[in-house]
Amino acid sequence: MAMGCNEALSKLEELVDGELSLSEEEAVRAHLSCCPSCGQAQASLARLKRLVEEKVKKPQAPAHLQETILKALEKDFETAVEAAGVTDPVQRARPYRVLALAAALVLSCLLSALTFLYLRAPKLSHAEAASACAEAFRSTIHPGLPTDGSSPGWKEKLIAEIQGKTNIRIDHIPDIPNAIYVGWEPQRVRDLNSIRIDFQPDPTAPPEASAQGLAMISVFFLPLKRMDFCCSYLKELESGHPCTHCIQLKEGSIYCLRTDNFYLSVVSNLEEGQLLARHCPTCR
Amino acid sequence: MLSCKEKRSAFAGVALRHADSLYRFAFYLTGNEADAEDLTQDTYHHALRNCHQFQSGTDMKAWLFRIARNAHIDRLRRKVHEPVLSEMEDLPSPEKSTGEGIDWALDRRKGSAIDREDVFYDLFGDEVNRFLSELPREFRAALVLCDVEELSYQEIAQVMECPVGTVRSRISRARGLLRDKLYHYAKSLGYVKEKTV
Repeated sequence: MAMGCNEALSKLEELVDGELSLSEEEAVRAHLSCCPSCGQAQASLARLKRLVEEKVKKPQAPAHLQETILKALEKDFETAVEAAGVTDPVQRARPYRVLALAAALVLSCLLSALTFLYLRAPKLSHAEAASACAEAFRSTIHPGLPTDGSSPGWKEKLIAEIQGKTNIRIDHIPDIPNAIYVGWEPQRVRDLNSIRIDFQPDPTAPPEASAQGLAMISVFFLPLKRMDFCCSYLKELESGHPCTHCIQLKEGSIYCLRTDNFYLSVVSNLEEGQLLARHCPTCR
Repeated sequence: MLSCKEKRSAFAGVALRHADSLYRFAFYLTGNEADAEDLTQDTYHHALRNCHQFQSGTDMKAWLFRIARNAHIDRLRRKVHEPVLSEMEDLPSPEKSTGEGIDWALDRRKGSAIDREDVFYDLFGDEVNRFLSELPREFRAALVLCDVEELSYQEIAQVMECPVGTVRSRISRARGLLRDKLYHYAKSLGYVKEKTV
């Protein structure tokens, strides 16, 4: 039965907020397409939402805020060190008391500085953090999406989600034929921070077109600058790459002569030489 | 196996990625930058000391926001013994509203009464922030979490510790009130067209 005006209007809020299921959204949109007054109401609500999105002030956290929070952590650590010092019998020995106190202070400062530097270092993946808090990075994108281009917009959503949760910007996700999206998580690759996106072969694909019957296809994305890259890789340049700007390296990494950037797109579990990205995002 | 300190460091590393969002949310709650900074620090302090309470499998951003909101409510209660939710409960429900602007705002079938609404909205700047700051606290928080922080209703419900239906209602009423304020503002500038009955 076709949806009436009252029902459609009651769902407008959820429609503009993307809270409706696919079938509900289709039903509401079908009504809106043939009801000008409800369509106008929806357009007005969408304009209001856009107004709030665009015009509401979005203050940035002051630069010193993170440092202040980290210093508070350091302070906790110092307190712990000092508490340990009090029970140290060496400190209670009168002749060495001043010396021991000074040494403890120096050690405390050194440890604090190291802790501070450790915490400040731009560790994008935090291998330990990823394992301790893996769920914090769980994907909100519905798994099971075909990745061959038949689901428009999923790549953009995935890129935005990864950037929002890790600050890692992926410029390009290649089409992976006959596979479905499973999930993603941060991962270290050779001491470098990367994002791993997992796919499964599409069980509905014909056997001859399926991804070699593999259990999982993992694609690693690693935005790199030249200095981060091991020089031995430069010796492994392959000639005959079709793009004049980009040079394909072993293991799927791409070096762009034009932008002087490396872009790594390692595809594991696929047959050797079966690469998915042959151009850097700039030249693609 | 990670030591307790390592776990905390790792946790801090992950939690601090939400610092900008958390500060923004604190700003919307408190209305000024100094208090927002204090509230953000308090939130992290509390979160890091209680990181063992973070449940794996839940949304860390929503968890941090919930701590911030509760910390803010505690501060208000300590400061002025203010019944934080009462102002919201006292508001007329949209269905019972009788004000001209509210009627217009909530009667969606009439669409917009503002002439060339898109052009008019483009002219807005700080007025939107002012109108938003005038909304009841819980309505404002729900709207900001939805439209600015782009949280789902489910996530907002986690932050605000209320049912999803309440979130939906608060967002709807926040938009209704905001449109009411926009309507009066538009009317004062001569942008309101004749209402059709």
